[in-house]
Amino acid sequence: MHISNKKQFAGRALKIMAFVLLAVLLLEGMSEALMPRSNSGSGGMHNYRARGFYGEEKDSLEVAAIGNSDLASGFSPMELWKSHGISGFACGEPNQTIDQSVRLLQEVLTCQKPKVVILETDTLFQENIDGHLASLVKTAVNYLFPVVEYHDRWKNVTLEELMGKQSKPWHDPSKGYRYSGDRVAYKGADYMEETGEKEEIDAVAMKSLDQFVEICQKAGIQVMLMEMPSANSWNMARHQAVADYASSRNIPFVDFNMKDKMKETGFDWMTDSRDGGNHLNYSGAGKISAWLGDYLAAHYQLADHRKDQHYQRWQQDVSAYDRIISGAVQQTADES
Amino acid sequence: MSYTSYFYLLFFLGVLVVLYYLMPLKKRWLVLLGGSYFFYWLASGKLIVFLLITTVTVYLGAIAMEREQRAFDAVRKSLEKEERKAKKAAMMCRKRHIVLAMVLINVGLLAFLKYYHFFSENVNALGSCLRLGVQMPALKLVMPLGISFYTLSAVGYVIDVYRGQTAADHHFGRLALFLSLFTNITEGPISRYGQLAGQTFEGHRADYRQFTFGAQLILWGLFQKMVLADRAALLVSTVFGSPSDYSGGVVILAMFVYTLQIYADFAGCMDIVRGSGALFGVEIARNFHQPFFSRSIGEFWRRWHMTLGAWFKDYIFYPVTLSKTNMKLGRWAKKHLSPHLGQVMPTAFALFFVWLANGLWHGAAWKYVAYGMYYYVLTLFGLLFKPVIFNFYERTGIRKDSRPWQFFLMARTFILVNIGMLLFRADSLHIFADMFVSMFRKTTGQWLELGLDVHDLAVLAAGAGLMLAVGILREKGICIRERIASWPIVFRWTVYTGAFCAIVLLGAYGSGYGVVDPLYANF
Repeated sequence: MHISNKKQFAGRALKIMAFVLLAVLLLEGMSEALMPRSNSGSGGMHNYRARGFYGEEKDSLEVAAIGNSDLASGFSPMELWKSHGISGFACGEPNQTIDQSVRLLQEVLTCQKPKVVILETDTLFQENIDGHLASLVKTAVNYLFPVVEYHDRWKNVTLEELMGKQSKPWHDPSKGYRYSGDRVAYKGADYMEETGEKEEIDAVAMKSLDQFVEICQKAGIQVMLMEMPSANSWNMARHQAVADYASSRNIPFVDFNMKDKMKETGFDWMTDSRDGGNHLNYSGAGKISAWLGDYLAAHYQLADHRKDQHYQRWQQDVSAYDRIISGAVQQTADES
Repeated sequence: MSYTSYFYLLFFLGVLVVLYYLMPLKKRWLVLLGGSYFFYWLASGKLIVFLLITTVTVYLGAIAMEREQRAFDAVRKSLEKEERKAKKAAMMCRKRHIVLAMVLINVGLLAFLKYYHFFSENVNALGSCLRLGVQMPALKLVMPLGISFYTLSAVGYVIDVYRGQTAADHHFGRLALFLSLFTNITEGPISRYGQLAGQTFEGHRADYRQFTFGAQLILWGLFQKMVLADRAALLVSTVFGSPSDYSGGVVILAMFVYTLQIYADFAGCMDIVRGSGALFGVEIARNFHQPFFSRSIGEFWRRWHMTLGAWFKDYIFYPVTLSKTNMKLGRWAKKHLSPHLGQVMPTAFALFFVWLANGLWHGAAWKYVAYGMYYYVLTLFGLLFKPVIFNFYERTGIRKDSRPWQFFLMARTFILVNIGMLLFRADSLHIFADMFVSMFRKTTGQWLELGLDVHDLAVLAAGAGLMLAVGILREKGICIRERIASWPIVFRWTVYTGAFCAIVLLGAYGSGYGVVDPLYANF
């Protein structure tokens, strides 16, 4: 490239760089101003139900599960607490992609030091309309500059929030679990028929998965892969892909769609789904969570905190949780 | 790949700009060609074969016509007059066959992929009515990206070669770049070979002013598309999605907001496209010239989607007007009807095909045919009643160029255009009729329950006001970018960063908003 006037070129290049820097500073400033000041829905947090862990005591969670709505409806951490005193949280975002799983994991690690992290593997095959790469870029931009995600908050941000005043975090007694008592049976075909095929995990998704595992390993966290019963989004080809990956990285993989696991958990598509094969109801979540509790207690060094005075609030949460699952109260959001 | 996506703005344009200016000057066109084909591949995958078919056929067809012409030119002087005439006629006949073949192949491809479903549906319906017992098969056809745009560019090129207005291009790469340029392929503008091919092929040195002007135009385009068009889409889809739930002022509002949406969307994308071209030193043709300042329907269509109107004028209107059939029609009308009709009828005849093509180009449905015919009828009125209008001015003494009268004409044209937009957006002719009638009934529907809250409506109103202000300045011949560029750096950068912040904060994207594809990207 021929440059006739080097001084002028340098001056203009500096101007462009200065403008770009200014744009970045403005993005930072707007992000700072519009970031939600609490993890509650009314406070403006997106997917706040997956972010209830901000309302827990720092470093109090021993198990963090990350995934999509299948996780949120199928895994109840309070069942683990009641049976084994394990403190866990279900961080389930609707339609979560694997790059979003990585971001959520990073958020969890800002305030928690779990011993075990469980990844619900549906996210590996979740793609938004623009594909994995576009999703990755979008998630990265949202992470770097939260104003891109929260830009609409200009409509209702208060002066206090603009001045940086933090709000009391929202505390979720159900620990991320979304209760449903509805029952709509799945009566479709056997979606886990042996086909001998393997669905390739997208290369970009694979990179994100590697990143997820490496973050955990660097932090000394044990990773586990898990797939909730899901008739509409899972099959043998996907199972094979994840099983091969797990085997190559020596990571435990529990697939509740496999016939042996269904037998062990007592899971039944006729009674345990709330919407005909997509999400589980409380009956299904109870069975899966009970099995998971026994599995985690047997395979990981997780303490029983039921008599730990630092976990007194958990006992109060049990009462609130029991009222929800008994149908005495409706599960609400934003309770501080 | 959307022009408003991160991938396009940060990665695709960024990488292409760097590669372009690192390449030696004479090879820079290769970067544009590679980038364009990569862009096309990402958008349409294997359907790139249709673009290649068009490129190869017009490349070969143009060269074949040129060969015929050159073969004749080589011998013409050595021929006797009669023999020269005969040979010329034969040569023109062969050239005509070639250009017809080119047009038939390429327009045929477009027609098949775009109109087969519409055609077969109607044939089958007619066949059922007449109990013919023959049914055209249903085919699953996918349209390649930009086929309606690049086909017209390609057909325009071969016709220009046929007419001797352009030399055939012997450089396949240059022609391929002309037809596939990533800035034009999605939504146009419909480029002319003479205007675009040369400048995309020749390498351009970096021009700071042009580069920064291009970036500013992209910013303005993003503002129009993301802040206004995509926001307006929420109200439009609410009302047009359930038209029977609304009437009166709500339908009128939705009609105006749709006009705002389609203009901000299309003009915004055109500004992004023109700004993108400017980054490489390429001047992309304008497609809009403040269309809502038009005082007549004819003027509107000279200011709206200008390259489409110009294409129809040059490749349909003039050939039909100058055809022997049309000339005969004019002579007959002058002799048997009146001198006025003798002038009007040939124009009306040619315009029928223009407006039919215009309607069909926009979509394969009867409502688009009606859309074209709506403007045809309005134009016809203007032609037929010209003497009456002239008498009106004479008798009333109204000065055509007086400001109040100009405003009246603009308002009248604006209303007529909005009715056309209502037809364009309604799901069917029937729904358009219902919605049009409902505008005169009592208002039903809550103003703040149309998909936009009070903040959104305020942004829309302010944005529309800003677009109007920009339009007024442009109409006065003021180049806003140059005016701002003359300001001190603090004020300039306040405007640029203000625009940037407005797009980030006020853009209708992300959570709570759907993805709004560019409205003209499906043609």
